Parts: sequence; C-alpha cells; structure tokens
Amino acid sequence: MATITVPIKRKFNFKKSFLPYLYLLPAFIVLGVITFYPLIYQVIISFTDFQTKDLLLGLNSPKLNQIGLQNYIDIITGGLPVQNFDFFRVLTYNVWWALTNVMVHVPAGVLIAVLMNVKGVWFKKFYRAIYVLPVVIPPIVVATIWRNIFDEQYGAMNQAISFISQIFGNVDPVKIRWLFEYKPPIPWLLPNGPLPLAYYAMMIANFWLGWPFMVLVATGALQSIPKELYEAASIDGASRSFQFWNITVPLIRPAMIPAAVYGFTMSFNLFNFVFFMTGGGPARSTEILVTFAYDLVRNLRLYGAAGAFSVIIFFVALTIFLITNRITKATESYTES
Amino acid sequence: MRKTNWLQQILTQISLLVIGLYVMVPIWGAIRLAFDGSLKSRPVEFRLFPKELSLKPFLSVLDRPYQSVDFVDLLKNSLIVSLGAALIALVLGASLAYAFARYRFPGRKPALFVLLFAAMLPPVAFMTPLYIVLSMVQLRTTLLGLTLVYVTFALPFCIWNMRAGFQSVAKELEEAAFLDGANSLQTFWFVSLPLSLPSITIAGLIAFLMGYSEFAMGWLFVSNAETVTLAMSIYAMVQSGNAQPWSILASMFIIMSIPIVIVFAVLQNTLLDRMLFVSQKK
Repeated sequence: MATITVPIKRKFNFKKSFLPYLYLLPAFIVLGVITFYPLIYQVIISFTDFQTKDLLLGLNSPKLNQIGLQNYIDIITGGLPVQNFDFFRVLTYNVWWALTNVMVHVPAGVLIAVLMNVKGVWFKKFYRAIYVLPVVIPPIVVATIWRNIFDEQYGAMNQAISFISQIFGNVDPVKIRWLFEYKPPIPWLLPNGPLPLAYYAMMIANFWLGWPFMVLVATGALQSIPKELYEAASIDGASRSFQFWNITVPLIRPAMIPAAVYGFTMSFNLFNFVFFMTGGGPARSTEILVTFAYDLVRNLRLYGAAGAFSVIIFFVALTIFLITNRITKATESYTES
Repeated sequence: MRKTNWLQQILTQISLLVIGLYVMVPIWGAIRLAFDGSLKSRPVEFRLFPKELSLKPFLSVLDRPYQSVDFVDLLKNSLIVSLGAALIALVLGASLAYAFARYRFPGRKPALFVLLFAAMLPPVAFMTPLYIVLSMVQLRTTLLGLTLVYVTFALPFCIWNMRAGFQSVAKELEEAAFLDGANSLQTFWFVSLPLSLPSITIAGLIAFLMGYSEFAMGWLFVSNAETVTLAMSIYAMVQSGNAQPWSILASMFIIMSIPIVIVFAVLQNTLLDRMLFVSQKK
C-alpha cells in the first residue's frame, strides 16, 4: 500500500521542548554541587601534596606544593608509605569480589522468587516477611553480627562445624581462624591475589545480605508477567522448564540485568560491610578500593594520594560502566532496546 | 498461575524453610545477645538461648547509649538525616527519572550516561572535597550537610529504580489521560505516579536505609555530639571494643532495626497489593 506523506506543519513548541530540561534541572544542580564539583576538586588535589594543615583553606592554602604525577606513580608502583599495598592486587580482588557476589546473588534470587511465586504455596506471606529482613536491617549491624559468627573461639560457625565433626568422631573443637588466616585455601583460584579464608567468610555473609534484594526485584518482575502467557503455554503442552526458560527468563531479564549491574556496583563499593567485617585484613588481602581510599584519608591522612586514588577509582568505575552499559544498554530507552 | 501437587508443596516448603533458617541465624544471634544479662564484655561461649534472660541491656541503651547523648536525640538525628535524604532524593529523582522515561530531547543520551555513571562512583572517594566544600558553606557539622551527603548516596539508586517504574507504566494510559484533557503535570500526578508507586516506595525505602546506616562520612564530618546518629554511635561502640557488654551493642542493633522492620512489614502489604492491582487492571 502506498503511503501518502502529508506535510505536517511543525510549530516549534517552546514550552514542550523546554519541559524535560525543567524536570532535570533540580537533580543536576544537587549532583553538580555534591558530585561533579568535588570530582574536579579531587583531580586538582591529586596533583598536590595536600595535607591536614590544608584542610581548613582548601586550595587557597599557601604552602600547597604541586608535585605533578608523583601521587599516581606512588600508587601504581607501590611507593606509598603503606604496608602490604599493591594496587593491581587490590583492583583484581575488588573486581573478582563484586563479580563472584553477583554471580551467586542473581540466580539465587530468581530461583527463590520463582519458588515463592507458584500459586498455592503455604505461608507465602510469612516467608516473604522473613526473607526481606536482610534488606531491611542496616548493613552496619549485619557486618558486626557476621564478624561475631566467624569468631575463632566463640563464633557460631566454628561451633557448628565442631558439632558436625564430632558426629563423625572428631573430638577436638574446630578452631578455624576465618578472618585472620592469611594462607589461601585454594591458591590457584585468583593467581594475582590470594583469596584468604576471610574472602569465603565474607562471601557467605554478603550472600545473606545480597540475595533478598534480588528476590524483591525478581518478584516484582514476575508479577508483571501476564498469567495468560503461562496458560497459553501449558495448553500448548509446554513443560515447566520450557516455560521457565522461554517465558519467565526473557520477561524478567529487563528487570534483572539492571538489578545485577546495580548489585555489582554495590558489591564493588561495599564499604560499610567490608570495613566492619575485616577492615580489609588480613594483611590487606580483602581490601577493596573504597576501604583503602577511606584508610588513606582517615588514618594515613595522605589527602593528595587519596585524591589521586579517587581519580583512579573514577577511571576504574568508568571502564566498568562502559562495559555494563554495553550489557544493559541502560542509556537506551525502552522503545529502542 | 499453576497449581501445585503435594510433592512439590513439600519440597518447596522444605527449601523455603531452610532458607528462612539461614536468614534467621545472625538475627537470632543478635536477639539472644541482646537479652542476655550475664555478659560482662564480649560473648565467651556459644549459646542458642540467653544464659540469663534480662531486659537490662535494653534499659541501659534507652538510658544512655553513647557517651552523654540521649537515645532519643540519636534517634531524632538519624530520622532527620535519613528521612530528609530519602525525601529529597525521591523528589529530585522522580522528576528526573520521569523526564528520562518519557521525553525525547536533545542531550538526553549524554545526560543519562553521565547520571548513570555518577551512580557508579563511591561517595567515599569524595571525602576530602566534600569536607572542604561543606566547611566552606558552613554546613559540615550540621544535620543539613549530612542530609545532603546522603542524598548523593541515595539519588542514583532512586533514579534507576524509578525510571524503570515509570517505563513500566503503559504509555497508552498516559495517552488516554492526555486525550481526556489532562495536562502533563496532571498526567504525571494522577496516572504515572500512582501506577509506579511500588518502585517509588522501594526507592524511598532504600534511600532511607542508606542514610540510616551510614557512619563513615558522618564521623568524618561531625565534630560535636549533637549531630551524632544511631549508626555513628554503633560504630563508636564497636570501635571501643570490649569495654561494654556486647549485649548493649546487640540491643542497640535490635532497637535500631525494629522501626524499619515494622515500616517495611506495613509497606510490603500495600506494595504488593498495589502491584497486584496494577496487573489486574492491565
């Protein structure tokens, strides 16, 4: 059929084309003050030997020395006056930590959400109420509790293992130094940086913290799937696993991928939790970028180096963002994707 | 959806119960510590139930949890900071997320790119400049300054979540509203906002939680005892090590968590109802 193009008179509607910017303005002003301005400031600081005495006056401080790229060189070559610090090891560990966490949280979350979403499961509300607790309880509280659970002498974890090993005839109580043993149990797992027992302990603890969020997201997504699709599929004789892979998975993917990316970001920058659980120890082997940045400012008071470190974090984040953005196509709108 | 048979029901129940137990392990650990009046410092033995059931830890927390600051003041500070941050983040985020979800305008893609990228940046990386900036405008030691900092913590997540919420509202509904003569603000207020309420609520809750449990930035900025929040006082208690019985710490945990658990339990029902309502209507 031939289409007839009718020339539409396009009147420039000032109000309408201006409106979206009006919606954007407030948030961008706030972000400008609290995110973008400090970012630029951080870049300037990173080329100086900013110290405690300069905090009061900031960049107007009289005795601020420009030292060029020295801070960056120090960080990358390990020239900082900090023990056990190797930038690339921290970076590798950080990426690995975030990646492994998300890879466990998302499938677990989807699986449990699907389990609970089946019609006629008893006590659904009860389970839902319990499962949501980890999302709701402040992470600062959780990290402290978990540290106590992995305590060498009195922790619940060692007690439980002792109890089980006693059944198998082992008399000695098990005393695993979960958070302080440096020797990696599986040395080949991450060649660049050893993964101490604390890593596994933190994986267990962070799993507790992470999956319920994924259940929330997945449940929301599952409930938005029209039930007719499943009815039609079962009338056509599709098996449950077929339905899962061909209806459920594609339809919750638009919700789960951003959630996974968000989860990755959260784990990548999981300051509160890592800080409280191990403080980056033993020997900085579970240190992530943000805990080290905090250490640089709070304890070592190397503000210039911290600035450089933040700029490096910025570039790491940019790289990760470009990759994840490829995956999610987040900047594309829903009609395009 | 599908009905279950008996075997499935039992298997599902068992797995859900095991998961529930896993969730309860640390929580129960805190509860039993909180009610144990026999602790002198850190727990020296593992127990399932308190050795000496008592409410003493709770009473001492409510009396004077952190140095000389009243519990009520700590709670008040926490609520001001985290509610304020959540509210600001929601308002700013909602308008922004709506613009991105609904409008096409020049510069949309770069702006979205910058914004989503800003979400990747850890606020801890901005400590020094924030300290200086907030000092310059004389806000550093005030609750308002802390609130602003927590807005940046929360804003990116709010935008992400609410944008998805607005996108999930069927465009036809908005168009119908337009055809019925509603202007864009009315459409936003009466159609898009109520329909995406679940995602907005979740965004608000997470935003609230971020401020409620943040302590590191707080300790960096605050210099007087009047602006200490609950989370900050917990940090101080943990740092002070074993000087106090852990039962005090644990009861502090419980007290800190209970309000949010209740709020969420209430919200969760309306949240789910709302979601179901939407899906029925579609």
